[in-house]
Amino acid sequence: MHELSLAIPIGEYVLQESQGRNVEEIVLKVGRLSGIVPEALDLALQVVLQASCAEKACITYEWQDGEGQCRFCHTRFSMKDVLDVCPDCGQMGAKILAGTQIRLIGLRFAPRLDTSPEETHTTQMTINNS
Amino acid sequence: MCATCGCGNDAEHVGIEGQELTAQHEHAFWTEGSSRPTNQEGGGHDHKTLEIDVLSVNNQNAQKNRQAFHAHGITAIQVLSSPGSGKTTLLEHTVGRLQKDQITMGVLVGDQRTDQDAERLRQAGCEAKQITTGSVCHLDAHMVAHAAQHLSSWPDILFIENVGNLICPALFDLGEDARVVLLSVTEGEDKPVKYADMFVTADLVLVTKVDLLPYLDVSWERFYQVIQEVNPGAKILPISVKTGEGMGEWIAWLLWQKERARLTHPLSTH
Repeated sequence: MHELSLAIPIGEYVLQESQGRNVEEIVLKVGRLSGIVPEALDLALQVVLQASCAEKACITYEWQDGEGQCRFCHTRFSMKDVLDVCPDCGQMGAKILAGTQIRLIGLRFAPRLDTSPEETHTTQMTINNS
Repeated sequence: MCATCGCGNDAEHVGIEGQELTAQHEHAFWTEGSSRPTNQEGGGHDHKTLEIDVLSVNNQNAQKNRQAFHAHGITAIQVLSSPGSGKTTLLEHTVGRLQKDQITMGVLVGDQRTDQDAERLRQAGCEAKQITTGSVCHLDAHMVAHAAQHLSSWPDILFIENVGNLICPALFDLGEDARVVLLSVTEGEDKPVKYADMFVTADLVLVTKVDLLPYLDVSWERFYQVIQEVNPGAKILPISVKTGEGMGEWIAWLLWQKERARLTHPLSTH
């Protein structure tokens, strides 16, 4: 359940970047070699974000293939799994060059409610009077 | 205030030696929650594009650990395996062997509960600090930093014995110079394929308890072949602390790691 350890920094960034606005969607770009199980990360984020402005946010995963280099013939190739074989020589165990990353790439917010000019004025008056 | 990362204070170190586990200590996010003030200024965009590397916090902490280890002349070796593969037993038997070569060792050992392993290692003659992780299934670089600063002296080789688990610890860099993964022969030769994420990151794979091979339906050659397929870059050694087989090669590998770290990161003058 290492997903909880990832959900914690994701949650921190989401709250920091949303600045209290209601978050509807959290978009993550996840490498296929990262070992992430989306169901587990969803659950962990649910725990981390409960009672926050992002508690109802859905999580969208953009999966990205990894890249490896064969240790025998040095061919570079796209990988979906750490045990993918080299397309040229058929050997396993390529050196992993990319695909273990987990990036928070964006947030989508709920539409902002319009604040009427009167309300704003009242608030400012209150501040000035205090 | 913690000298390592600025979080929490000295009384709140993460589950070190009987202290309460407070892994989420005092990061502002946890105490402020959603009641953080709202910034009403700025545009009304419904999207915000970010490009944040989620693992960067751990990776930065790991890098700080690595630099601190090198600055103190410490070679850090992470030891990983499933529970019961013989990590602690191997380290117990390593203490005396390294002493013969005038090499001191220390151990930071992670377990979900109890400080039994740290106590065993202290009995064996080296300094050991237990990290109890509670519900967390792996060590991260932050926990390691907290535990390391409680060491009374800097060892030549610092072993970081992770929680017994073949899945989660693979993802987290702790600041080590090299990774050793243990696989005991009774676990079966299929594990490197089933838990490939762990084995592909290994610098050395130790096949432990090889004295039991005569009682099993699998050969050393088969273990070697499977591990080699999964990670052709790893060194693979058979070992048994009971018979002493492979102990010499293990010590030689450690000394080579020590030498490699010394040449790659010469000690600064302080």
